[in-house]
Amino acid sequence: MTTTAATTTAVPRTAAAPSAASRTVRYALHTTRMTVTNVMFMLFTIALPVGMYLLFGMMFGEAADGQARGMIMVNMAAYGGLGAAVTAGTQIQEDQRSGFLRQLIVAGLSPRSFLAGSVMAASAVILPALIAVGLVGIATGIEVGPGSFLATIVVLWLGLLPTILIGIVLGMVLKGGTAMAGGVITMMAMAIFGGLWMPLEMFPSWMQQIGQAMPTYWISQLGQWSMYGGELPVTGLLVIGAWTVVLGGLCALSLRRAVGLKRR
Amino acid sequence: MTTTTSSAAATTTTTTATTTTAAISLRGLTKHYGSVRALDGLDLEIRPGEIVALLGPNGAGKSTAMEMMVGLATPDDGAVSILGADPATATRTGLIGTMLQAGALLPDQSVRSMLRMLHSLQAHPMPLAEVIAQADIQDLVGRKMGALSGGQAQRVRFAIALLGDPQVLLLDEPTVGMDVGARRAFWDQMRDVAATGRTVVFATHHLDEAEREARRVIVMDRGRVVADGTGAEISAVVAGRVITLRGAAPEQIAALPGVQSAAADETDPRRVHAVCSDSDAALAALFTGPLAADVHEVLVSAPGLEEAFLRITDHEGDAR
Repeated sequence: MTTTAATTTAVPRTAAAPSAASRTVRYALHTTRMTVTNVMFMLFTIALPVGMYLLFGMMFGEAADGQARGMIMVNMAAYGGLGAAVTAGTQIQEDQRSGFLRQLIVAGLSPRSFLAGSVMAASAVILPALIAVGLVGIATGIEVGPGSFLATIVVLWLGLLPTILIGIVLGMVLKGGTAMAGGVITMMAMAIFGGLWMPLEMFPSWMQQIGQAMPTYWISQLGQWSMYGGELPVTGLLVIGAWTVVLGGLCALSLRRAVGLKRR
Repeated sequence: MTTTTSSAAATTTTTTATTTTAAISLRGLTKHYGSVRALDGLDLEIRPGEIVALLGPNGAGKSTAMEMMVGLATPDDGAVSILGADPATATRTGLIGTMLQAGALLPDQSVRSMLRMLHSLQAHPMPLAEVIAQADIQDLVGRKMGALSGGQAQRVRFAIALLGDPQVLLLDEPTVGMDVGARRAFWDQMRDVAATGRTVVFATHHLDEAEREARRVIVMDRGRVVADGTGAEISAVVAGRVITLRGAAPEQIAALPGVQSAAADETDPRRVHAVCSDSDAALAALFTGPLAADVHEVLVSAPGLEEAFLRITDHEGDAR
């Protein structure tokens, strides 16, 4: 054991270690970078809602003195954000399922930081879809002040938090290809029942009742409120809040299972 | 295998707390997965700077033990300490680096992109360029992870283990999927990394690797340590020596004093292998008895690590 004198392994250098918060942010930034550079992801999450906005805007945009166009913009932005959120959530969780989370933990990221960072990254990658639909909306004649426009984007963005958590929970509960399929089905169900594609009033009453419990319905309502004013839909805040709390709890629970249940 | 405490005196640090601290200390670890007993009272102490091979059949508990060292698994009972810290702290502060067995990598990402992410999470990372040089992956950094061969992916995993500039390096079957040339190159790099005074623990199925690369070989079986020593010491677990010869029947040889068992060679039936408890007594009897004129090509050898390993972990052998 004469080599000990030459050791570089003398004092644990713990002082300069990054905090949990900075690790979380770094993980979120790298995940965002990896997702944003995924061309297919960006293409689908941006092109699909923009295309649907243009289509529906052409068909129904002139109704209600042109206000219908703004509502379609809000709904399609919400739909785009929903798609990006669910996709990002399931994709991030796929990494966790495959065992990449173990690499991250061994690198020093705690499971809690992983979850927080994943939510942050998913929040970041839904912004391009929201902004793209919004900008195309303005370019095609939606009349809205810059303040209201920004407020609408922010309201939609915050309102989409539970849909990110849905993606993450789906990714943890379902496996591989099932998670992707489950994500698509969930996304379509939430878009339809939330009235994002067609106004909820066109559906039978039982569907409308389900729609009232959907976060997507209230995201749309809140977006329209921030754009055109009116009474704040307080029920919407409660519904979205409830979904966020329940899904956040589910995330925390399934994360503990995902880390602890490593069998060999 | 007596523990040397004098080595600690040579440690350069002035912190008295670290001078006597084991690099890895496992005490009474038990772990059950359902009805499967993965670890059964595992005790192990590895000193700073040691290079240790963990040998054992599948299911011996090697991977479970390694997972506990980095906090990926928690023992049902017992204590783990890495340089005096608990595994979670050791991992968070970069004291320990791990090459996970078949550790998942992001298939759609380039090697560089993934290394950058994991690099950013380290407490006190080794410069990325140095990691790439030490793991010899310059030719791989631009490739997508999913496009790498098994051996290439192992080199990237080795780079990942080095990212945190760890003092304790765990390698779980590092050369899986590598051809002979890649294995040799890998161990050359590993020796360079170990020469800087790091503690290295690797699990392997390749007995030659264990014997050649590690000064200490620990054999695990059914969740506990069954042998611990140098490769030569482990080999000596099979007491006595092996005699091979020609010109006599196995039954005749088996009847000699000091011979435990004798059998014909599988590929060369006229050659007889005899495992001895006392090869001297067996040889004396052989050359003074009636067989002396018949036997030829008599060879006495120490059994290799492979034979010792099979003997140690031969469960059916317990009953005999």
